Amino acid sequence: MITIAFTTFKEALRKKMLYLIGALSVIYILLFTLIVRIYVNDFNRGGMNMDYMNELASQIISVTGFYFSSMLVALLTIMSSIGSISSEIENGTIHSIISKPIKRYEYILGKYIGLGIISTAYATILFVLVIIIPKISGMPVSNLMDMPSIIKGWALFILEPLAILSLSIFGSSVFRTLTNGIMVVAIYILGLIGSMMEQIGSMIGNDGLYKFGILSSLISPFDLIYRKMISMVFSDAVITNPLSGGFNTGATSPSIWMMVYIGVYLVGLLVWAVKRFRKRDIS
Amino acid sequence: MVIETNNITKFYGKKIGCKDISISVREGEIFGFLGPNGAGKSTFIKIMTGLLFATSGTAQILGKPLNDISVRKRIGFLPENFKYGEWMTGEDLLSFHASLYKLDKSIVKERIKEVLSLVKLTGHEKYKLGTYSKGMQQRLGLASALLPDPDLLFLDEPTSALDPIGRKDVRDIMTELKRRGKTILLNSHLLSEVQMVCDSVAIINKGSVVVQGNMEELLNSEEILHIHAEDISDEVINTLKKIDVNLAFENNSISMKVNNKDDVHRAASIIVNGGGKLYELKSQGTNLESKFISIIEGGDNK
Repeated sequence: MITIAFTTFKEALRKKMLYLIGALSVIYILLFTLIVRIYVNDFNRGGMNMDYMNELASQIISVTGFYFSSMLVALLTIMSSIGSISSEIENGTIHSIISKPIKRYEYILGKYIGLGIISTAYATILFVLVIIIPKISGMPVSNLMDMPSIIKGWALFILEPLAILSLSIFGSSVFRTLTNGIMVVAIYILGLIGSMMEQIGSMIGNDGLYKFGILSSLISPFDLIYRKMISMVFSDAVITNPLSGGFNTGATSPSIWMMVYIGVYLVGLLVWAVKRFRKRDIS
Repeated sequence: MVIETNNITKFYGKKIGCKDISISVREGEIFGFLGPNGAGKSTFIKIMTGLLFATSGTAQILGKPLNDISVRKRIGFLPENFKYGEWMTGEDLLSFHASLYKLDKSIVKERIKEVLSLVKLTGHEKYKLGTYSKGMQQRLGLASALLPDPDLLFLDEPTSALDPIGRKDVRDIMTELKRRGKTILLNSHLLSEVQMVCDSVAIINKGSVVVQGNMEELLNSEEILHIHAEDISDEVINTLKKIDVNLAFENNSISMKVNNKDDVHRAASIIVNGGGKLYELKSQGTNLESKFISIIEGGDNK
């Protein structure tokens, strides 16, 4: 399993796609830094002394940083994993691997571990930068975060790509690369839309929207993890999603049972992938 | 027996992959597995190497049941299209496969050197696979299959991408492995090559084995005898017809089928003892290609 994980890790590092996403990340972090600097400079120059407004605005900027970082992490995770197994089956690479003295579950878990390390490392770098840049720039949002909440937030921030990876590895062990790509992206987007609907439904008291949101979150719980992360980092978050139009969506932080469900979702998909792959014909 | 299969059958839905394949491969022999495209050869090899699961039937490989993972440490497999990530160097690939075989780390470097030398790729191991020619990739695949010094080797079209020199190299490797007591199951379209190296052969058509046996016996089971003789009496012809009832006799020339070398001697004696003047006697053996074609076409016409 370690051999597969190590080779998968090395292979992912050498893919051009990783450099492309790396370049995107650099541009994104530069932009984020620029926004933070402009905000801090203009706020001070304007002589504004409204603590609440200052905290609110800086929190929105910080949440925006986390939101798009989580999207970049999801993008890297999906792109690196959709063909991790299926493409090896399609091009025949797998023939010389599966015929060796390794168990099939070792192959699946090795892929998961190798790609999981890449996603986790990338998520950690972005998470740390989104925390550090506002702090260095003296944005008041830093005062809202303490170390224990940051650590819990980080754990949730890396949980999201690991859950996406479970789904993608499952799909890659069952479907062709293109089919899996479409499926994973569709489910990820469903989660974003559903999460937004759930929050809006909850806010305006629309039961139908709320239920649609809950249902879609069961299929695609990734945005729930993100929202839990935000509520963990900012105990009094006023907004979790910069695309929500400024609604007070922080009120609908996922329950602990939803987090238990996510744990079952992550492990369940991996177990299912192993079960399906164990009996799969590799032709 | 190194391989013993019992009615191995594979269906892809309703389509037959292979049906009731029962073969026995003895230790230390090179066993040729032949058949036209789509006959089920690769399906069978993939079942033997754990890539496909048989729908029914049983098999023992190196004394263990099919899909016993522990036995794979003693098996080398060169798939038909050996491929790996172009980002790897030859050495990376062999190290990776050595890890998959769980080879002792202390011997890996030495073993990689040995197999590279065996397949004549020494000096190329630092280059990325993307720069390798097809033939080099095939040699590297063979090197990878040889890493654990396997007791049993499955070679699926091992020379399809090689030039004549490369083919000879692979033949030499197979012969050397056989000399060292290793067993090889060879799947190849190059019948002349199979004829040169294989001890036994099974011919498969439409998923089923149609002929199986010792190569020599298979090829010697039928020969054509061309005879030029004069003063041949009807009595001589009638006696010769006891060997081949369908013999052809025209203008002092006889063409007849014989089943073994004894029949050649018998035919010559009949002519000479019957007062005939024997000027020429030529025995033309069957080669694997003509045998293969007659078996496959014969089967297809049924």
